[in-house]
Amino acid sequence: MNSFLLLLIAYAIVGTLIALYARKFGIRDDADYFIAGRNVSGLISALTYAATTYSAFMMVGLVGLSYATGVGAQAFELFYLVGTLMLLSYYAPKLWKLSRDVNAVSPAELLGHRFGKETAVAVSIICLIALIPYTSVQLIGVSLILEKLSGIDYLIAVVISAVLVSLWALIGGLRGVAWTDAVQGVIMLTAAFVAIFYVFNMNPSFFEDAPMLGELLVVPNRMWTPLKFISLTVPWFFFALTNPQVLQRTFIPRDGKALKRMVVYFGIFGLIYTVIVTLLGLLLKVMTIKGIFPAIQDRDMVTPTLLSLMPSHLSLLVTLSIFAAAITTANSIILSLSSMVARDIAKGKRFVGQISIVILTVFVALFALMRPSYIVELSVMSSTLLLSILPLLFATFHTNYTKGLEAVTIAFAVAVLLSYLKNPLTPVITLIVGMVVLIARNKLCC
Amino acid sequence: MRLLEVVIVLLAMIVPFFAIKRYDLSSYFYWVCVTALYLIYISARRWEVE
Repeated sequence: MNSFLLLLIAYAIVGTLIALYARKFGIRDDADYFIAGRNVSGLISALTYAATTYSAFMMVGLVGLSYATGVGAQAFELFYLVGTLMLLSYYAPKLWKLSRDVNAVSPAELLGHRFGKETAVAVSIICLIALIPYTSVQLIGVSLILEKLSGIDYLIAVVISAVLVSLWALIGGLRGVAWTDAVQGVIMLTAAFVAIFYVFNMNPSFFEDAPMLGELLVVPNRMWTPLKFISLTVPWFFFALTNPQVLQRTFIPRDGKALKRMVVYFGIFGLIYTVIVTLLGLLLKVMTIKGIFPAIQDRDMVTPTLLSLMPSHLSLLVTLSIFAAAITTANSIILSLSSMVARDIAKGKRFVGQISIVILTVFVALFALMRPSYIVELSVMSSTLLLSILPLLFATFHTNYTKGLEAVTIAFAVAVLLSYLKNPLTPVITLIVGMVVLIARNKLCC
Repeated sequence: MRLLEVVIVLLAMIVPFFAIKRYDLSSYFYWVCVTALYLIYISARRWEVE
């Protein structure tokens, strides 16, 4: 049995033991199962928020993006982080209080309390449509890593990954997911430090060599035009409010102090992780220019190439961190979607939520097995499609509007159509349409 | 959310698009500093749930 498979078995056993221990705290109702009884500490909340937010995109996609396009990639990611901190520091206390006041367990339920149950169902369906392909892409990435490093067949790799995604959520609910996320968050950050120290030691004169990067050090440049920057940044800027798996995490801290700690500690984690990951891409690019790292055309192959050059024990740790990043993102999404199925579609039946964890995971796994050509495109669209929910969320806290069904469905249809047409202004137009329909429906119509 | 806060932070974040054209890591460290300062600001500010 090879080293990665042994490491994976150890990872699976430890994660399962943590989830089983989390279960000992008792699961009496939906709030216990889907939001850990609203009783999670600030540190654990922060780590589960970070592990859920940061997927395999960071160590694979963002390293490659920095390598290929320079500091614009860091700006893109830090715009996301600043936007998240801005939104959370203002809206997280409101969401936290409102979710307690109206006893909302799922994000759609929170909106349904103001805009009605039909709107909650529509929001749940939009989340399902937007996030199943995105979760499948996480599963594909994890399964490819598993296939490549352990030598097992892709089909079995998908099955193992799917079991890991659903098992901890099924056993321990959100408390199980949050605790396993916390451990995996630590693995992700540790592996990132290991990778940057290793690469920096290969080229200690990086800071003197940096000017070799030329136009990659300034924005805008050929890769980061203002239009491209806006079209990529806007959906991610609002990620904290539009993605149910992270929005729901504002419900879980045990008190106001824990909520603030969650946001601040997440900010520290995010800043450190982003700096390391983007610096890694720039370091490797300088090394390519100096001829000490291969020139890579496909930017998604930058990290795999680095892993193939690292000593095997370091490579294993970084690979495990990528694996963990994808699993934590995927299981948090599945659990959040299942909470919407249980609370908003099946009207408060927890066993339906638990069954839906299995059914959703099967769907995600089937997508991962079929790997249809459009799945990556659908996955990229996810954040844009979820923007259709944003006007309702703003209206919840800034207006007394009560009619939201038309706004969310029309904005979603516009997002789908414009994304299909590859319009670069899709995020902006989606938001404008959603806002306009919302105002018109509540102000002009009876 | 204070509108002034949003405007100041966003303007600060887009400065390198207009004003930093040096071929070194100035833009990179500038963004890190702005994000870190904003993080310090929100952690020092009193929140409505405190």
